[in-house]
Amino acid sequence: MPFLFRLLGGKALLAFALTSLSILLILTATNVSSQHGLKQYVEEQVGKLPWDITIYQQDNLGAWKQLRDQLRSLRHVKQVESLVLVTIPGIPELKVHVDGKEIFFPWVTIVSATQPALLPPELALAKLAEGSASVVTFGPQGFIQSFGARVGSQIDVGLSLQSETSATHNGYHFQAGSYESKLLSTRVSTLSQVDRSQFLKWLLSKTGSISFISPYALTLYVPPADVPDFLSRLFANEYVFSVGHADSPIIPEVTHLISVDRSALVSGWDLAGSSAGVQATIGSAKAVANRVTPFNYINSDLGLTLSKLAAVSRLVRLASVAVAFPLLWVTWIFTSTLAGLVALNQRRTIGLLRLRGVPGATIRRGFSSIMLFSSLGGALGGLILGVYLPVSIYRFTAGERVPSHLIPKIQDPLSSVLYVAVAGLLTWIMARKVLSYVMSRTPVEAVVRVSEHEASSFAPRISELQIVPLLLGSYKLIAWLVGFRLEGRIGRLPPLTGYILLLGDSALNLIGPALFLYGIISILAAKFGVMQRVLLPFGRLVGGRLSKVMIRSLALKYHRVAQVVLTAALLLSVSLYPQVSLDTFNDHVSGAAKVAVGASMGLVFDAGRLTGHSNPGLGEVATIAKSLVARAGHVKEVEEVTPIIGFMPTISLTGASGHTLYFLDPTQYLRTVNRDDGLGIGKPFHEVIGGLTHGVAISKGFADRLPLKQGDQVPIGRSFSGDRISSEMEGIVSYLPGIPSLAPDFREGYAAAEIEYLTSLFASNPYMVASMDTGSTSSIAGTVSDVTLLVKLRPNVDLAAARSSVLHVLPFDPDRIRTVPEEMSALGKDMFIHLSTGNMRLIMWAGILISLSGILVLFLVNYAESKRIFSLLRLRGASPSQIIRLSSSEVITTAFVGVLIGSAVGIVSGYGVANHLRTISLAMTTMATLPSRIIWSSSVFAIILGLTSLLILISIVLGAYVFRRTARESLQI
Amino acid sequence: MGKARFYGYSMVLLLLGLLSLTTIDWVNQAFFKARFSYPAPLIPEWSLPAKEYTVEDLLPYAMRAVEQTYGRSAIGPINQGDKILVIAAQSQDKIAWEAMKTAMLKKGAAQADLITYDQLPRIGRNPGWTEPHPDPQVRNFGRALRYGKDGYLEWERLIVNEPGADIGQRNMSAWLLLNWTRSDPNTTKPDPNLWKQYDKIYALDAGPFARRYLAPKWKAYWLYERPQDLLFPYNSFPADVWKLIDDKVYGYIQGGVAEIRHTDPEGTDISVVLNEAQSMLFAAEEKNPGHHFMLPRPPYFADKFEGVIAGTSNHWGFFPLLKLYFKDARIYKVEGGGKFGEKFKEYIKKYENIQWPGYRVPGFFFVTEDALGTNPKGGRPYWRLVNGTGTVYPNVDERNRSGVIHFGIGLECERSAVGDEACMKWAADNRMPFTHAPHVHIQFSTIQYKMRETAQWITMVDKGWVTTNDDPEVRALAAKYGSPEEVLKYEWIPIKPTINYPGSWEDYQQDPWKYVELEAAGRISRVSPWSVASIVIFWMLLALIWWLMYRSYRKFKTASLGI
Repeated sequence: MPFLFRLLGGKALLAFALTSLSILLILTATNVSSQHGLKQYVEEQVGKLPWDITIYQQDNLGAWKQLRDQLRSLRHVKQVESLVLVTIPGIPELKVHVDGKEIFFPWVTIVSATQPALLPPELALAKLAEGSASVVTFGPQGFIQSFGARVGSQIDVGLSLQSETSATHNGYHFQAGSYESKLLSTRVSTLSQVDRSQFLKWLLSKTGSISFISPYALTLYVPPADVPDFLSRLFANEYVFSVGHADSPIIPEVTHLISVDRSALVSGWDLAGSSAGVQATIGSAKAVANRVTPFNYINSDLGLTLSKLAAVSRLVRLASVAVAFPLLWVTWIFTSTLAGLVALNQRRTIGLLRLRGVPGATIRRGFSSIMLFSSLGGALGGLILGVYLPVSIYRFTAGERVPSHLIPKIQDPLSSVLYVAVAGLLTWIMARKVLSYVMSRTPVEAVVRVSEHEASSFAPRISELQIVPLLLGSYKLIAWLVGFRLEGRIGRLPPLTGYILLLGDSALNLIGPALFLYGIISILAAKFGVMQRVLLPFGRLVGGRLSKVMIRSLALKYHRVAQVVLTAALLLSVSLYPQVSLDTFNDHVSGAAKVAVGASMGLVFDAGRLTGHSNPGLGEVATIAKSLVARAGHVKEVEEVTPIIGFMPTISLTGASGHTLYFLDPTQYLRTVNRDDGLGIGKPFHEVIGGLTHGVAISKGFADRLPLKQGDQVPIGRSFSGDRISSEMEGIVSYLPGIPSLAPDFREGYAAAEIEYLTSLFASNPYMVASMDTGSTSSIAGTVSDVTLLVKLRPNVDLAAARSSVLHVLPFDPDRIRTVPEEMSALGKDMFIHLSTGNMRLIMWAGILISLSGILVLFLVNYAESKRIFSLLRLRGASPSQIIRLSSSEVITTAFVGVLIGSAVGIVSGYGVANHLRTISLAMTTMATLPSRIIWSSSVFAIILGLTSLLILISIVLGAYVFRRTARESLQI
Repeated sequence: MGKARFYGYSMVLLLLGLLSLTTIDWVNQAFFKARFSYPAPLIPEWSLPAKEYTVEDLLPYAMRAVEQTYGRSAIGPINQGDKILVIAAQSQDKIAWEAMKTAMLKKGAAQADLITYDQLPRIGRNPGWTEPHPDPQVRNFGRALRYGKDGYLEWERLIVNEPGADIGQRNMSAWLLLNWTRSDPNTTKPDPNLWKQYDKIYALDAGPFARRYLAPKWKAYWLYERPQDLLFPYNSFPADVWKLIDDKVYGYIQGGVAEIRHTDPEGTDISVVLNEAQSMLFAAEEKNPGHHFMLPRPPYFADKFEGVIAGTSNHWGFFPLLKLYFKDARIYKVEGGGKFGEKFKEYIKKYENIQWPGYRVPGFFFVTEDALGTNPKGGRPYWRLVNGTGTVYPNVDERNRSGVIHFGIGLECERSAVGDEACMKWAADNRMPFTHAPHVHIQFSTIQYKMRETAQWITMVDKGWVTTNDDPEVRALAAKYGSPEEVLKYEWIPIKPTINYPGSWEDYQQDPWKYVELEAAGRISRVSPWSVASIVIFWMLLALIWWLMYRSYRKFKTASLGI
């Protein structure tokens, strides 16, 4: 056996070791880079979480402070703050007095927070002293008139419970006599207008869940100091609400928001361990809450994010095999070629051994042992390299140190075994092919110097079945290009069929382009006539006089041609698509952020704060807005400024919630905003806005509910006398750049339903757009909610400096400031982006390396096969330049076809992946409203040119290699 | 056949075989010609007659029940020191009561007592009477169990109280309660003033009676007669989510409705057209939790209010398919319904010429409620339907599930234009009913509203699914309590042959109880033996093709080896 080992070792040992090393290196590095992508994503996600654990206390509210104190004493808990939301039904016994006058409200909601930052800026800015309150309005509620104009002078509001003193039921006098209990007595000093959906969105972003907020409620924001007394009085009298009022219960909720010590609990490299640690803290918090009241619900965005991503991390280890599929494919081609070389090398040795009487079983055992040892050695090397190479790169490029105890967690033993199994399988298949080839030859066949069988034995199998990968790959590419998604289109199918189809569709996301490439090149190779037609023009161009010889030569070994084309195409496509994807996606994110903000920055002002009273008229606000525009326009860094005035008319067209009417100056607006004509539906955006002088535009959310067409009369509100006011519908916009919606700060901790909700808020947001000068709109009754000042800065101006200059000249501080970079950070982050970014770079570099190695080996094999022909040509008088030209033209022609196909597939795939990433983003944002366009940076061209030049260089060097020996020497070997 | 082709085609055959397994529903549809576009039946385990329970088993469910603060049978909130009285049927299960009592005390109640209807005096119609009541149905009330198969007996609500000239029509338990509270304290046991010592009373199972007789002490209906009543997930549905669903439904009604279309595959088909004033009256309609009036209610008629109601169940139980034709909200023709339909015809004739005060036209049988349940966790209580119940209507819980509509037939003195008091006096003086009596339930309604302002049709209920459950805000709020799919999922969906289940519609409409028994036995399957047979045949065909392919491949292999 040691003799056999020595005899058969050498190149075979190296080939098998190299194969398993490559595979393990690819798989392990893909996993580590994915884990790194996840780590970065986790850190980014955790950074977005304002709080880590949320406890909703829905009972025993009298003990809310006690619960908060107990939570504060827990290990790993750093901070606990509370948000109080208590909604009381307007039962007959509940009396609300406004300046002594009794007014009926269907609901009264009390809002308070131990930290103002827990509430939307509109509320948080109201500085409340003990005993004072702010009225919060969610739209054009009728009671605004009760407060509106008088808020400046302060209004006394009292909440009390009074029973019917003479109530007689069935002859029984209930609570006869006087019964009165004061619940709250406060002085309203401000009125804050918040869009209800924005308020809910705020709650979702701060607490991780929404709460019951009645649109019909009188909502009072009170300081936390007033809450304990109110709650104790309310629940001491809960009886009054509970008997006979089952349809209107008190809906009490105190949300306790907990921050934990993240540095001690969370590590992006160890998601499972971090998740377990956070879950333990959640368990402790739950136990404490249960002691105070069993009626509590716990939610942890941090826990959910970690457990979700820990599951993803486990999945990534498995998915690495699929993610690395294009690389494995290249490796497989490389391996097949290598197998050919090994076969060439070992055929004669094994034939001679058999001639000398060595039994086949012994040879087989010897060969298998070599394969086992070499692939195990290679696997071990690949595993170590696959882990430490990326880890070292992270250390030296980004200064990220990975503690050694985390290495087994990043590359866990189970997935290592899986990867070794994959490598083992591929190496075994390769060894089996080599062995069965050499063992199936008769000893005489085996010892001949040149074998015609070898050529076809190691070529990829090609048959009509290759149409299947071609169809599957084409489907995926087309689906990406046209934005087709299978989800939502399988509703009528049986569930299991739908599930299987979706699973297959997801798998195609990873392997679709590779299947397409394999399919198309296999078909081309199978139909050599077609391939020939493709090759001929290039052949004529490069081969010159000998082009016919070259084509004939290629026809004889078309399997090799197919391999070269496939490898070159894979090389180009795996190198190009990551770059195209990233360029296209980043361009889209940046465009979407610009459209969302509307200009370089957006300054949002509460209308009440601008006017000093809480029921400002449209004309009054428009005048102030004009003065703000004038002031900001004088700042030297500012190029253009335009206002958008948000107005809520007193009409309900879409159920309980109302809609907003945005007033703007069309000409000035179009000059200022970042826009895309694709935002207009049916006609370009600038035409829709330009037409506002005749009528109104409606949002897509509105158009989805109202079957309107251009020119139809659309009710936009009611006049002060209650008559309906209509206007002509001028067009539909999918988004109005610059409207003051809160940035949709999506995160993994959201449940699917919460993402759906955010998406629906965006997609179904009903609003109208009108020109400030439209006469018919001046008499609309309603409330002005806010003014947004869109500021366009001059080119190359520092944003921070310009921002402070603008704020300096304005007489009011804005409630919110939106800028493009901030918006981009909210839009562009997605787990898939993080994972893909890491993986794509890896795939690109590893793809280039392996493909080049593969091509080199292929060229060597081709050279080995062709050297007799070259020698014969030399003997027949072909000049060195002709030989080099012939040799390199064979390579260049085939490689060039591969480059063309690969570049096309790479660019299309890259665009497709970017398009796909855009549509699978967590929730719908402005990104979904903008059309995607393909972007390639200079690096894309650099990659194509670089790789093509490299291929040409290799082919020329190999052409010159022919002259290493004389023609006679070459023929003798 | 070559190796690659053989393996390739084998894979295709295997895939076809696997896919064929997933098409069983389609095959079933083909065989049963059923409109399986309606949701498939679901019979949850908790709704079936089941095992024995202990107090410990039931306590967690009881705690959930006492925490519920929303809905017409909400036990919560229980306040510190509450004195609670529950008036229940003599068939009240002791274990169920102990669990509920323990939960109430744990929540802070100072006292929780139970009295049963058989303890109440049955001594006559007027206060002070000491003789046994002359009506044998009153004397025997609650002593015999009620079963779901006797749906026609819901007429008891009208019949048995007819002699009660002082109070007119009501349900029996309510009558007993009223009679007791008006009895002579010197001669009556238990003390008629006893109820006044309590803070909260839980009694009855439906209707406005408790509000009339026990207010302000009455808190909610008492539906916890059997252990299974506590297992109902209905009790633990989050109050804020339920309230939000209700608000969303009302949001549309308050938005102004111009037209209404209400249909159901069993035959209900109603059209309503409202003018602006009528839609404002409709918007101002009484709001009940989990009980939405989806049509305007008499005497505020709409411009057009006509159609047909068709169903096979009511609060009590089941009956052959009944069709009630109405115009201007008044029933004018009855078809089918078996004994229930016969009684309908008899009483329609009896009252057709009688003019109630405050109503525009004579007659009693108006479509007075078209009420929509909005709690996804409601369901059909099979333990009551099959094993019988004391005083609770066996099938009353069915109406609480989201999307189930119960029509209430008969006018309401409460809604009379002359006012409740005057109408009630007239009813008592003339021995006439004063509130609606019989009901019809339907489960697969589609209700559409045409909004006045926008002329857009909104589907409020789609094949029994309340569409506000899909509202993103509702789903987002539900996410606080778990997966919204689970929180909002219906747990019970009944069998309707040819609508969502194999079978004969003719057979069903003659005897729906047969199918309820099938549900109660938990034996439901939409798979037809023919479907299974056809898939087996398909697999055999695939196997044959594969075998032929294999033979061809073997031949090829042998030939290529040169043997």
